[in-house]
Amino acid sequence: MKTNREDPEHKHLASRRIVLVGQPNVGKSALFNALTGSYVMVSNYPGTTVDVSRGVGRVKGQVVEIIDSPGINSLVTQSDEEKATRALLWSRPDLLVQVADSKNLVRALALTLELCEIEIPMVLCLNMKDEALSRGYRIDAAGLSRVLGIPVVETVATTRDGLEELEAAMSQSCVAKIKTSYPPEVERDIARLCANLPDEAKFLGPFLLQNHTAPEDIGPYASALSAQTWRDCDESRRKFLRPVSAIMFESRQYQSRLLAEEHSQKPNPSTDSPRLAGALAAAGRWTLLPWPGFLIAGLVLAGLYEFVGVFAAQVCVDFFEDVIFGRGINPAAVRMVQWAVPWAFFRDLLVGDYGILTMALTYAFALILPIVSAFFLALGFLEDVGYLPRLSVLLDRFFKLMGLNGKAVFPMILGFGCGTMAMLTTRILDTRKEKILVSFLLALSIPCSAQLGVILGMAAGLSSWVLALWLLILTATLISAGAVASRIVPGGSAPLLLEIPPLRVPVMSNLLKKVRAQLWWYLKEVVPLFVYGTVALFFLDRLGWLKTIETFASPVITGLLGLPAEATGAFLIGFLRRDYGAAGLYHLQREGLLNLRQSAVSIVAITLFMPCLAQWIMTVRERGLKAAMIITALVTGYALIVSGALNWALVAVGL
Amino acid sequence: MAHDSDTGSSDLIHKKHPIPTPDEENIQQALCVVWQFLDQGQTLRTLVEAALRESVGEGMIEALTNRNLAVLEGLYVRLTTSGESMARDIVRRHRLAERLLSDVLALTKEQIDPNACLMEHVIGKDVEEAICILLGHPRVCPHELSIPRGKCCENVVGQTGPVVLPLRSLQTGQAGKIVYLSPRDRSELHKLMALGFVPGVQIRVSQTYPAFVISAGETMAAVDPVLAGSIFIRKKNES
Repeated sequence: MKTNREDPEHKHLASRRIVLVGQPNVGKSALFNALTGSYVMVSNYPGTTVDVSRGVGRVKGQVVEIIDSPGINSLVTQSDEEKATRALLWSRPDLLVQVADSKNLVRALALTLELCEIEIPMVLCLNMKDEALSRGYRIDAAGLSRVLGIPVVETVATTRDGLEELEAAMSQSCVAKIKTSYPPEVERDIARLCANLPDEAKFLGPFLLQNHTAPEDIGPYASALSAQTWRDCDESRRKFLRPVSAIMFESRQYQSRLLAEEHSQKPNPSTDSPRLAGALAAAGRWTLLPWPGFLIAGLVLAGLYEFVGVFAAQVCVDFFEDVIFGRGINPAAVRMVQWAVPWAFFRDLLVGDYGILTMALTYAFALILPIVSAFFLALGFLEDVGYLPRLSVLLDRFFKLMGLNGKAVFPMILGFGCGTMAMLTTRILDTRKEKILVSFLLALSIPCSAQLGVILGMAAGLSSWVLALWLLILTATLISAGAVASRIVPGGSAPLLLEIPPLRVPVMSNLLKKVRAQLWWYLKEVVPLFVYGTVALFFLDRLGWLKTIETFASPVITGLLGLPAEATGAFLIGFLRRDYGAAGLYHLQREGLLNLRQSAVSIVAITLFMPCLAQWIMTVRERGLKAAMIITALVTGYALIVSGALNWALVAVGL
Repeated sequence: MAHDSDTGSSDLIHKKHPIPTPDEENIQQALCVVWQFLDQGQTLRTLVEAALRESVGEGMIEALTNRNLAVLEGLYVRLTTSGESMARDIVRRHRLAERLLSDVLALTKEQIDPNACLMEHVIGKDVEEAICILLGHPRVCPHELSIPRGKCCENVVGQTGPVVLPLRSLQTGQAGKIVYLSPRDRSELHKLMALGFVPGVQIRVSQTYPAFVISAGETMAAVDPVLAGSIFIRKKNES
């Protein structure tokens, strides 16, 4: 892969730094790949490209650094994507390439006008020309270019159409000459602000007036601004009845509408759309309506479960674990180590009960890798199709019960696959409160696919009411814990506001490359966590602390939960790997050590109980140690109370 | 539109669009009074004259007949065609103004009539129509007197209720222009505007449950009922 994020070498080689900016879903990442020959994320769900990717490409024989920024709709709005993109722009790259959706010229130009204000040489790239043409849009690129004062090129990034013209345009780019004309009062205030700004920060005037955030938002320029500037901003804003930003947004939108009307032709509404586009549009409508939307959602989720929960988590895992690792790799490794390593201590560290090879790497590759691959593949497919925002719309009201909105469907569904992945995607949520709520609910009541398999296996051997009881407790927990927590956690929830991209047929090669990039991330970031966790467990065991913890914990397990003392170990290991906890219980059940009541209590307890170490570490990383500790305490307390109460209730009814 | 440029000095406006002189105002006032009487079937000259003397001044009947707006037929008063159409307009403006003052601006009962009397003389034809549309073509004034129907009312069959309403009260398939946005906080406002949902933009509602799905051009977005309550739409005429 050519993409390199930390490699400082290409910075010396590259003569110019080029930043791609644009709205979500306009093919920015596809263009990035076409220009650099490498691949990052291309997806249909707004906001998955939070990471900024860098690559090296050649423009007219020159080596250039190309940066793919997260999708934004404006520089003024507040989200992680906009923050990341703004930071890139304040570093003053040599060239901006605005990638735009040709079908949606008005919106694209509104952003163009905003970007023009920061006075960086620019090229406007009208991408997805094919889609626009097939819908009957005609754009006068040359005319637009004259008015804007920057090169305007039409491209199709996925087929590399128009790329040569784009490269030519990149070498003749210049600062735009068009200026948005705001109402006279606003213009006066901008001029007054600019008068007080140092020369290198003059371009910030319009931005400062409409951006209400703290100084750190303008990064390197914050120190160059005087207190007078901030006072001027405040004063101007107070003068207007409406937010100044709204007035300025409206001016830009108005002007871009005029520009678009002058330089493009709208399709004739009676023109027939191509058959595929028509079918996709119809499917797009159906997936949003309650009927047949919920049926489709049910089928999609069932398909997802069959693929990830059954095919990957059971069939593939069995094969990898029992055949490849169980009979092939592990026995060979054990023999190798026993032959090559003379010290018993190191032998155990590598291939013992808690060995790096036998436990950590077996888990990581035999158990988790197949599940994670299947999940990335299935989810990437749904993303590229554009289905996920539709699911958010359908389930919005359900999530409202928990103080969340439909966007939470994304991390929650991922949570049924892998809680660790799910924690990563909590970034797409709007407010801090929602992020904490989802982190909490993920830790508490969403069993991951690995765990689900074992739990379903355990329940299968019992009567069906155990499974029903388990489902009932989980659903009730999810809704009530969400409802209660949303009242306690301070802060607000954002109302649902979600752009819905059109349904598209995904390009399979793009999808596979994306999954490859994600798996690479998994190997680099998550596998080491398993190794650290295993080593920690190994030492706990060696030092005898594992036994000590077991002794302390067993009164709770045997007393409160009414389980055999042997179950303590399963719960402890459950923290390292959730399904291993479940698997430990499964083992006990098969040995005949658990009766019906104990089985029911244990599957409820292991589901509600702590998430695995990897998810916990991710919670700390995303939410901070304090929030993670509070979540841990709440989850542990709740799990004990509910499982204890269940045990007591089942004893009371005579089981 | 947001782009109201400087329209120049106020003198200039008055030259182009003169405000009515006191004489003209009196004539309009008188027509108004006569209309009210004729509307209730009262055409006796003595009664009409008494009322005119009380609310406008002396000699109004003569002023009206001199201008060929009214004619006297024995004991009775009748409006000529031009008089009737002028009276109709002024009454309509007066009663629409009353509705605007009471329904939209929420003035007290005592404030409504004197202000409506002032407004009726300065409201132009286009403003009159805009008020009528804004109020949803009302049939009666706050005093339960009927409002003469205008051109704009004739195009609307059976449409009642105001035309500016929150998106939340729109139904599937309805369309309209965004008039203003008033979300709870600024970041929602910014997000809406950045998606292209700014005042003046034409939107269409394609579904209302489980969330509102609206589209403007090629942009489609979902908003929940809470946010839909803060987007105000001028409904497109369904005719």
